[in-house]
Amino acid sequence: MITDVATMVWKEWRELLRQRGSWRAFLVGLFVPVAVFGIMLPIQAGPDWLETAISLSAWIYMPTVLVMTMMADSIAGERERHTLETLLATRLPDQAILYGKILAGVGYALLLALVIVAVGMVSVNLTDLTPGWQWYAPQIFWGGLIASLLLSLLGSAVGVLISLRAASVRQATQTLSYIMLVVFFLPVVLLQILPSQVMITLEQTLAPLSLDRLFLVGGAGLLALDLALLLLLRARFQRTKLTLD
Amino acid sequence: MDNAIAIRTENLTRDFAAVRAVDHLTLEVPRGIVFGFLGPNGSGKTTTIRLLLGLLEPSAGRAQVLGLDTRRQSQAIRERTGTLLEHHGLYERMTALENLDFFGRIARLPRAERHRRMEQLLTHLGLWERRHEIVNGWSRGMKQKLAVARALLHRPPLIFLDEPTAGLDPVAAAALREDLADLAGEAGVTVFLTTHNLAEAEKLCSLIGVIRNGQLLAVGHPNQLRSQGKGQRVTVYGQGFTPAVLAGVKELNGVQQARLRNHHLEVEMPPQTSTAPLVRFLVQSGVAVEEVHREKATLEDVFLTLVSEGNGRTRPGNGALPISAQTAEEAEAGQA
Repeated sequence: MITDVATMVWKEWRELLRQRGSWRAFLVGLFVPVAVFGIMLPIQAGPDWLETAISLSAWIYMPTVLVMTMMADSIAGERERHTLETLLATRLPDQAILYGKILAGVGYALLLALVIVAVGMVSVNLTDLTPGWQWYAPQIFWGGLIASLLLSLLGSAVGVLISLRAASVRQATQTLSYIMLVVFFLPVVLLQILPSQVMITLEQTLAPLSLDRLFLVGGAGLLALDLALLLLLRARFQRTKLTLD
Repeated sequence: MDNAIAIRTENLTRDFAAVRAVDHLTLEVPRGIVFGFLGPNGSGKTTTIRLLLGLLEPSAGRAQVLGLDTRRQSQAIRERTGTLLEHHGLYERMTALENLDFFGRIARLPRAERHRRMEQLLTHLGLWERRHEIVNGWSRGMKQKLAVARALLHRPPLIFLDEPTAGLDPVAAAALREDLADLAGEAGVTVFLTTHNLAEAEKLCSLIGVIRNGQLLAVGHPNQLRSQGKGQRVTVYGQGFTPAVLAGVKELNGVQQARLRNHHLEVEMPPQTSTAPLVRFLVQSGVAVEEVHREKATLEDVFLTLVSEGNGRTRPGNGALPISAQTAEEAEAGQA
């Protein structure tokens, strides 16, 4: 099973690298997120980037958005390019195909997050004149890493689920765009429209919680959501159903 | 299961809602032959392949492929078979070598063996020099060849080819046909080939099955099927065919049909009927006979006769549902 999953990941990464035509084009495509989240924002934030929760934006936002976009293509793309049936006609078990696709997305997102975080650390150290090399606060680093892993898994699973049900890549991309809009802008809108009494209650509830505890509660919630989605995908991702699709 | 049989189906049936795409199909395909599955569009050929690969569950009946049950052992079947389905299914963003490498990894071929096999197949098909090219820019014929290489990569004892030459120009189709015959013959592979192309079936296949509306209408060697044709066509070339001669020919014993076409006479007669009385009559009527051709029914004649007869059939089983005009492909799409 592990070899089969690795084979799928190998294929997904090959396709991803070739998607833009060449290695150079692929690296150029990565330049914008790295420049924004690895250079501009860290330089603006200074040492705070390494010690406060500001840098979590790089860990959390980028992987989730990227992996969702990438996963829109996962099943709908194979169906559109007529490669799905040939893949299903091989000996690969359903779960190896499914997990291979999800892991390819998670691996890509995590790798990108690590690159951005590393470049961010270098940017801060090069522009801040404090003597000695500055590292991320352990709490930020490990919390960010776990959050990144869980969120990219969530983004990947949601992406595959939408792609599985979409008639085309375009439809999958559109649906995922709406979901991303809702996920990222709903909290902002809610904060604006919630009655002040509710806001005060919310603040009172969250204030006594330490950052560690927030990570723990948030992480447990994400993990539960990830597992639920994976179970749903396992039930939905079946050869006979996919052949009929 | 008999080791000499590669595919055995017993009353294999698949329904999509009210439409029966495959209807009580009972068939045996011996090992080591090229079996041609002929039928018009939507007759259930592709659905049959999907059932045999375990990509669809039968509604009734059962099938064994290489001695394995399609319901319970479908993964083992897919492990031992190669496929070139309706679409070539190549990853067009990847190179030829990467495509084969991926399917070699799926088949768990060791690295050295994988590379040896890829080189052997690509060289045989004349694609080795272009192995590092992205497949996207290739012609359809080259893609089909690469898909054939993919199907044969792990040396499966059975391959399914779903209309492999469809959409190819005659030259590319002939080249692919030749490669298929070579590769399959060398390895002693059983080939389950669906096609519309009767000449192709006649050239490649040692056993042919004709399907229409999901029902198997006939199975046999091409020669056997041809001999099932309703008669022989006699063509007489010469001078002096007149309407009176034509009327006389029509009166002759054994003549089923006669017509004049571009200065020659075409006569339909029952098989094994002698042409001597016809020639004698023509000569006596003043026709200068130059040449007489006796032709057996072609596979195309037999195929067309079978499928046109099959049009009005009802199911042999319970007969409850009349066969819909909807095709198997349309029915699958509806079900999805």
